[in-house]
Amino acid sequence: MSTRFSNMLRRSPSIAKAAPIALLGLVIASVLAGPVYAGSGIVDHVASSGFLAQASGSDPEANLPFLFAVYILTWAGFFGYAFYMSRRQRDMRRDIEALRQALRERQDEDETSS
Amino acid sequence: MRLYYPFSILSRQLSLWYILPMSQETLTPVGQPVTSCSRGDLFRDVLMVAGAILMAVTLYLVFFYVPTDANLGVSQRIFYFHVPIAILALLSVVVVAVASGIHLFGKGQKSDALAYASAEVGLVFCTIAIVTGAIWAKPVWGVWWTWDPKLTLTLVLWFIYASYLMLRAFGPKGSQGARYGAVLALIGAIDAPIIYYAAELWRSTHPNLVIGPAADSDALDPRMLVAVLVSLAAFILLFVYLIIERYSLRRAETDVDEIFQHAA
Repeated sequence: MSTRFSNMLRRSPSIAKAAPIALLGLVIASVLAGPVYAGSGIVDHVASSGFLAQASGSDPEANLPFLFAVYILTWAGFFGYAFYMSRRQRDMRRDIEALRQALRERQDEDETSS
Repeated sequence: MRLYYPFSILSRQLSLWYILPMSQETLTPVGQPVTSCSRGDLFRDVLMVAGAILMAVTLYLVFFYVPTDANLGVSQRIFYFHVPIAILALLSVVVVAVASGIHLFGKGQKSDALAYASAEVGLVFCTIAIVTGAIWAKPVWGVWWTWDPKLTLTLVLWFIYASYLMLRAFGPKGSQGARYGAVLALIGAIDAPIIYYAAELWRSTHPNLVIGPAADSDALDPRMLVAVLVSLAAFILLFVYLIIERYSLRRAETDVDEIFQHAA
């Protein structure tokens, strides 16, 4: 039964299992972003101006899609995590039901043997 | 003492926020309609409602109250999400380290469950902080990512969270795995203060500190400061709520696993 439970855990979605994939994605993104950054010549400008860096031009709403992307991704991340937890809870309820069934079977066996 | 709270009953019927009772004696109501809740449930409900209200206030402040930055335009408003989330990602590793230290010296199962829950929630916050930072960097710096000390160390923190969770998932089980994880967490926590002071310690493209003990007092416009503090409060409530939920789930998972091992 413990083996069955371990298998169930292996099948369940896990942040730990997603970590290597996310890691690979981050490394690829970093490698792709590196040359662009090296040739942009932004470093000195940003470092000298601190928080205020590259201007957004005359239109203050030019970067609105980036703002919405951040808010959408943030909430998608939190809701995704809530969904992940609900899946784990559902898996555990299934385990508890299996445990109940096993206990019932054991009780039945005890009754028949006595 | 059992009390009745409408929010608890509602949240359980939605099942997304369903929390399994932690002790073996109270496992029996699982799957049945829940009609009563404890004080812990009330606390969770208060956190959820207060967090939702504060988050709504935060959105109002961000979009209607704070002035638009003259240089960065609207993209500066990413700051009100990115900074609180990044602070909590750092705070989380401190919680992991403290709980791990308690577990190492006290051998408590509760502290281990807290460390695990905090690491998992911390990984979520750290991931979101890196992603939101990258999206903010693109319009401001012109690139998605740069090997700046602060960014690189935050990525290292992400690796620490990931390796802790992988160690717990695939490493030794039981108390041995918990001890290995605790040692890793204690070593990994050294990264948190270095990240916080990275922009001060090295020549960095990342902006200097605008909030916290080492920040300049006039680093932010007062209205911006109000908005970021309200946002921080909202995310703290969300952070605590998620940790409590994950902690309860972790404890229940451990209990169920032990019952399975006894039954086998």
